[in-house]
Amino acid sequence: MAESASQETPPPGFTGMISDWSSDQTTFKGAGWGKPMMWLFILSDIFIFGVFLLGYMSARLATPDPWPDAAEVFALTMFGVQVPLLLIAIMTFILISSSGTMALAVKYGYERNRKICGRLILATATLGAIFVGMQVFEWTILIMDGVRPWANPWGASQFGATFFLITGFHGTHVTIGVIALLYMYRKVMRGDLDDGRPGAITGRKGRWEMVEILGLYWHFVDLVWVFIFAFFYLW
Amino acid sequence: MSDHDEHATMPLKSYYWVWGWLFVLSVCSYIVDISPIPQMLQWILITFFMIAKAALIMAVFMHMQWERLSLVTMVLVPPGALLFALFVFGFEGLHIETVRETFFVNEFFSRTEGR
Repeated sequence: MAESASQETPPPGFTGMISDWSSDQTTFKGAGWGKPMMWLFILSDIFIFGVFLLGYMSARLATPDPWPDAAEVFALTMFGVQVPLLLIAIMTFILISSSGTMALAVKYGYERNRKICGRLILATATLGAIFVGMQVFEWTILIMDGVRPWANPWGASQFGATFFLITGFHGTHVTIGVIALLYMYRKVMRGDLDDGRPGAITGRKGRWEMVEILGLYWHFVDLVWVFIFAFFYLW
Repeated sequence: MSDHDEHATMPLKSYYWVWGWLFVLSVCSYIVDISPIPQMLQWILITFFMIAKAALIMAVFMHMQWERLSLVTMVLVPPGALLFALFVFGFEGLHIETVRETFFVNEFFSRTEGR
C-alpha cells in the first residue's frame, strides 16, 4: 500500500529510477496502484492509436492516387464564405477547454472542494458531449457527400477507411469518457469520495484519487486529438 | 492519498496559463495550415506545435512533471518503438508507391489510351 511505500523517502532522479526498478517490490513508489494502472492502460492505448496513425501513413504514402485535401473536405460555408476546417477548429478548442476544466476539477478535488470539483466535472462532461455531437454532425456531412470506407468523390479511396476508423475510435473514447465523467459527478456530489462509500461496479471505496485517475484518461483523449488534428487534418 | 497533496500547490494562474498556451498553439497550427508557405515548412511547424501541445498536456495537466522518473520512463520509453515503425513503414510505403507507379499506373494508362 501507499502508506508502507512512503515510509522512507526514495532518492529522486536517475538514481531513484534505478533503485525503483531494482527494488524487488513496489516499483512506482508513492503512487498507489490506481494511477500506475491507468498509465499502463494509457500506454497500451498509445500503441493502438499509434498503430492506427502508422497505418494511415502507410496507406497515404503507398497510394498513387491523390490524397483528398483535408482543408477543402472539412470546409464549412459560413455567411457565403468557405472557411477551411472551421468545424474541426471549433472541436479542437472545445476539447482543449474540456481538458482545462478537468485539470481544475482535479485541483479542486485535492482541495476537497466537493461542489466546485463536481461542477467542473459536469462542465467537462458537457463539453465532451458537445464534441461528440459535432463529430456526429461532421460524419453526417461527409456521408451525405458520398464518403464511404471504400470510396470518396475526391481521390484515394483509403481516405474514408482511415478517417472513419481513427475519428470513430477517438469518438468512442470520448463517449466512454463522458459516461465515466457523469458517473464520477454523481459520486463526487453525493460525497462518496469523502465517505469512502463502495462503488456500484467494483465495490471499491471512494477515494479522491479517482478524480485524478479519470482526469488522466480524459487528458489522454485530448492528447490523442492533438495528434489526430495535426496528422489527419493539417498534414 | 496524503502522498499527492503536494500537487495541489500549483497556483490557479498556472492552469489558465497552460490553457491559454494550448489555445495559442492550436491557432498557430491552424494559421500555418491555411497560409501559403512551402509545404515542408508547414509540416515542420505543424509537427512542432503538435509536440509542444502534447508536452504541455502531459507535463502539467497529466501531472507528469511531479511523477517519479520510473513512472515517466515506463510511459515514454516504449512508444519509441512507434518511432522505429514510423521509419520502417515510411520507407516501405514510399517503395510500394514507386512500385505501383512503375508497374501498375503507367501500364494501366498506356493500355487504356491505346484502345
